[in-house]
Amino acid sequence: MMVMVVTTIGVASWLAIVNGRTMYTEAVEDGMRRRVALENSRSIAEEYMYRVAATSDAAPAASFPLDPDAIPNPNPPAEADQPDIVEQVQIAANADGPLEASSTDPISRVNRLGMAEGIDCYQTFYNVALGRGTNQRIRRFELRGRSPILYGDLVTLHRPTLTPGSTSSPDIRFRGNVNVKGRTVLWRPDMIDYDSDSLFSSNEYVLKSRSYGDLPVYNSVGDRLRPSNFPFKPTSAGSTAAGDLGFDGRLSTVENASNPINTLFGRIGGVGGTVGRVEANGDAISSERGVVSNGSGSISIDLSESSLSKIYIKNNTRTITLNGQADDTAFDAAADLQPVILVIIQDGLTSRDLDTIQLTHRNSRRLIVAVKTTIDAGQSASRLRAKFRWMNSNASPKPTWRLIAIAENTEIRFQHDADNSHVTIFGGIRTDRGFYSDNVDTKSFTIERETNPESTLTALLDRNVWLESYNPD
Amino acid sequence: MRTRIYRRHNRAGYTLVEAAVAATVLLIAVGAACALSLTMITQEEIHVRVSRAVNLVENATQLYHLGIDTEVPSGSTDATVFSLLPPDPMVSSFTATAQTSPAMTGIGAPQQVSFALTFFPTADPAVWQPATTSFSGTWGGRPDTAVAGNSDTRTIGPVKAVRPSVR
Repeated sequence: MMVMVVTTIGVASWLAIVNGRTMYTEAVEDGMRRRVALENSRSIAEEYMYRVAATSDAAPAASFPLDPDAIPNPNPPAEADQPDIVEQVQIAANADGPLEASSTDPISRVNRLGMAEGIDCYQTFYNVALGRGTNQRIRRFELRGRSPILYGDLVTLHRPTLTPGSTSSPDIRFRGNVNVKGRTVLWRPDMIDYDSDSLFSSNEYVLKSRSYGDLPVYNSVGDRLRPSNFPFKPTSAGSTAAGDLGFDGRLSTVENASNPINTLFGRIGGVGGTVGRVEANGDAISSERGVVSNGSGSISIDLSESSLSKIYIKNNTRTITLNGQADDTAFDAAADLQPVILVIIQDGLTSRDLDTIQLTHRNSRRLIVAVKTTIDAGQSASRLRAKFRWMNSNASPKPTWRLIAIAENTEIRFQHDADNSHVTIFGGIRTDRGFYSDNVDTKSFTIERETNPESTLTALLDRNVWLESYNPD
Repeated sequence: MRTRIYRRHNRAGYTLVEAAVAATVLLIAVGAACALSLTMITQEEIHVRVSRAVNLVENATQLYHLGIDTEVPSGSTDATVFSLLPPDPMVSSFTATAQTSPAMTGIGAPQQVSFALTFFPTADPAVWQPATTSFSGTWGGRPDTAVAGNSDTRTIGPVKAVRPSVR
């Protein structure tokens, strides 16, 4: 009897435990669905903030109720096709976004955050309440923006905005004896024509998506690099056109009427902002803040001129000469001058299309060269390029240049005027039409990160924004 | 005169019928206990498998939310999401089906995928072994469908995962 009693008690206890586990297992599935619903709701809130705040300067609505019943069923009549979401998302209003130039001053809720090595990040935040009934969860979303070049993306090949001339031989060429001491970012490797004799190497290598294939990128000792990224955080520099979002890798930060706050043209004043700006359109300029134009498509710019800061060149210019510093004294002094932005826009091909940007001596002045060509597809690649040609490049010491080059619909091509030469560039490049350097056996380049951008350069450059989410508890 | 003295035995005893009934009751009790134990062991196994299946589905949704693709990359047989999950022989199928994006006013059309995992919930003599076959585009584990009598399945899902279209 005792044995039976003990056994009965034991079996009853086991039954109770199993029953409890049954209830727990059922709750596990419910809990999983609730967590997925919260994540889904958070994703929808992110989508809203990306579209409203990250791609424009518009402030999101003060309150954004999210009603699952209001969402059209995409696959009727199956009710199960509705996504699991919570009942309400409340997004706190915010007036400013981290893309705008005015965020250089801490206004409203836009803050500057000091990042590594003196590089600033611009941030605003949203408190978002995700609710189901009376149960509310508060998430804090931080929308941050910074210059990708200053943060280490030294070479970025974007997705072209305009279709390349030929799909079998696309204009997006990638070749060079270039050692990148930072990250190389490729948005669409499948659209790139990669030369097999290229000696391109990089410290790191980031792909937008594995589904677009891969390219043979090597490190400095010749080992094949694997992409260092896991999932790619959505980033945007803003709308690329009216009604178009900028999350697919297209580059539109030189000039963009749909998103002027984050363009380099906007940084030099934009349309009508001529104060302190030297403008050239092919007409002769005898001398204005160190800029000379011969009226025949040739412009010379003295980078040691202290009053120079903004230059806008529109059409009719074939050759631009950027004169650096010839001696050590001038070289050291130029490092303390204000940065120079040179914006070149070609909105129609002429007999004097941009071809060559000559660079003489060395340069320690912070320099941004932005080029945009707005002609359509089908044009020859040779008419869509900016050749950066270093003069006396085999001089001693080897030339070093502070240079950030951003080219839309324009190939960036690096050249030396002499063999056995090497140029070190402190800055980076972004282009959507390829990056190409000549004579890989005898002419080489190193691109290094600008480690002392100072706040003026940080504020002048275009930015990419992304969202981060935190639990404030 | 001889007197026959009959003594009553004081020792208690059971008749054969009594013993048989007792043995039958005991056998029934033991049998019931064994059956109950088997049931409960099976139930425990089901709990473990359901929990595992739920975890797999949740992990897949989390990877999707992180930005991992549900497409099959070139040179692979499995979708990227599934290739990051451990193979499990209890899984019969694990699918990620792209859904029509739910267009929302003022938001756009977030990406949406429906995950569904079908598994064998009962205990079986399946041997855990490395994947030798795969479900093209869905799952890289080796399912134990070859086990005789193991045809009952249970499905977790569909579970809809939504992520921003801006990527």
